[in-house]
Amino acid sequence: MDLDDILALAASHKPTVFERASASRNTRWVQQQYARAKADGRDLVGDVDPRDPLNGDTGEIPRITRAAQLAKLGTVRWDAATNEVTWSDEMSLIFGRAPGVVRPCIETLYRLVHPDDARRVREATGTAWVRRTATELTCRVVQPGGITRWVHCYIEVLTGADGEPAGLIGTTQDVTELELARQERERRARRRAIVEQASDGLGPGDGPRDRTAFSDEIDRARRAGSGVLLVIATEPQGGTDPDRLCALVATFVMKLARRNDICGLLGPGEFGVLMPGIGLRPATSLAQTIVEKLRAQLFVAGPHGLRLGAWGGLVRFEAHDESSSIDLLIDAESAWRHAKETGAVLKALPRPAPADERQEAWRTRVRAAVAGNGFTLYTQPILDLRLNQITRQEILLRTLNDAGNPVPPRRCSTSPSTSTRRCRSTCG
Amino acid sequence: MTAAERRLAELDASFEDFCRENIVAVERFLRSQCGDRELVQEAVQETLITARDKWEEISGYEKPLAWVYKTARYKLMNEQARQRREATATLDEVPSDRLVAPPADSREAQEWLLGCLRRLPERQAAVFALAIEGWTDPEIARILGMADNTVRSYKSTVRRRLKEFAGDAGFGTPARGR
Repeated sequence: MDLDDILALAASHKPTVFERASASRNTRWVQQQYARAKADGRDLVGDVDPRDPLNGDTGEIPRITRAAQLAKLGTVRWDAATNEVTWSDEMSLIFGRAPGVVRPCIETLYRLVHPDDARRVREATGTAWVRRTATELTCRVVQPGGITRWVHCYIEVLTGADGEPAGLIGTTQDVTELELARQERERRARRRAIVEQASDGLGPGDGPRDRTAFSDEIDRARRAGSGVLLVIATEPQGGTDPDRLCALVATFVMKLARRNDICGLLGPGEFGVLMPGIGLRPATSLAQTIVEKLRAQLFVAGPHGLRLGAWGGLVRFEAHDESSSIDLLIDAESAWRHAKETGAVLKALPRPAPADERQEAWRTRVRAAVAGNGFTLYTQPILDLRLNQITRQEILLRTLNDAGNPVPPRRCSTSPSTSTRRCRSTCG
Repeated sequence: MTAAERRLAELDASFEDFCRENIVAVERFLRSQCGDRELVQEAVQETLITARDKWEEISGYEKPLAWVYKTARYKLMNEQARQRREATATLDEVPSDRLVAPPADSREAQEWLLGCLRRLPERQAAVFALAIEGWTDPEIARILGMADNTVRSYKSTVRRRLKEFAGDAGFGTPARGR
């Protein structure tokens, strides 16, 4: 089957019973709406052109300029015989000039285009003229005061009465908002890629889950029944090959965990073990074993062997607890920090912390981090292309780990913006 | 019944016949340029309400459908511009339409074609959508308000792109027995 077959098949389509019924229904609806609009005295024609498009003035130039007017677009025209350029009032407004203020000519036209785009515009118009073919491009124009606007331009070849090419006409539209939205999407995609890259190596298919997948597992376990969440932190996190060390420790923890337990890599040097259907006492005993064995083990991830400090935090949850997976992770992380600060191996919580307590604990941590320079800020200039100036700075927040290194966004939270929001809300 | 009432009834009847006959085609024409069915339906309905208002005049045209296509396109463009103004930040890329097997019937073939046309610039899609309905190049140029040369140029460009899409979907070879 090739394109012609498909086109022939598509053309053979006859309206189905459903489509015919729908057409009748819509017809009735249109009639009703028309009657209602007339009764309300609504203007139904507005700026619609009532003329028959197939009759009357059929010249190319009036046709194209009229179509542009109806669509509120600008036009700019070059006459090959006289080398004259003209443009519409709407085009003047796109250039940021009042109609009639600037005398149109080729030099002025190219002066109004952004210098970085002028060559591209010349090439596009040149190619359209030489090849006698329509083309389109997006470029910038510079308004008074250096304000930059993005415009999309359809360039068409005009044919004279003798059938020969007579000039070019461009129909232009200000697409600044669309262009800015496109650039914003690209920027977000780049950001996502950076975050994904930062998470590379965490959570391979059959191995430990990454933080997001582990959170999903916690939520699933919460819905199914009770259990215990263990979060283990190890130090140092660096070494010559931190990813390799991370993978080694994760494998070690997985070997010590029960067969049905689910393990996760939550961040640099931080590991989760989700133990469904277990009481706090046996879970604490198992956690104690894991942490002590971790401390006793010599890990080789580089030229030298490395012994780790390790601490554990546990929290027991019941089915349908109000706490979310993120809440449980925060509780277990607070618990291992408490264990570390008090010189203990573990701290076990019999139930999730009350919401206000958890919030307060976070506030305390944030205050401590602020006091101890535990954050680092990145700034990113936001250039408003409409004004051609930097109007604001986006401030990105990253936490520093105990070694003073910034923690990549995904590893401390689900996204950089979440991290920023959390900081704001807890500081606030 | 007075003469005026009779005339009104005649207009109503001929408009309803026109609508029933063409509403699906107008909708299909706009769907070749816009994937948002709700927006398309809104533009079609607004166009037909306006058409009803001017039906006495429009029904006298040789091809009233040409006027409806032209007006429907402007209505759609205005609706799209309004929507962009309201939701620029949340606009996402339109996902490309995919087809894993050759279309089995005429409806699937139409849907594939509309999906492909929506991946092209709107003006090119509009030209081709009219061309496959049998409108001539000068008629298309007048309905869409473009140069005659542009219609020819767009038609060949779209045809080339559609062949690429068909090739990408793995059914770009002629059917046996043709």
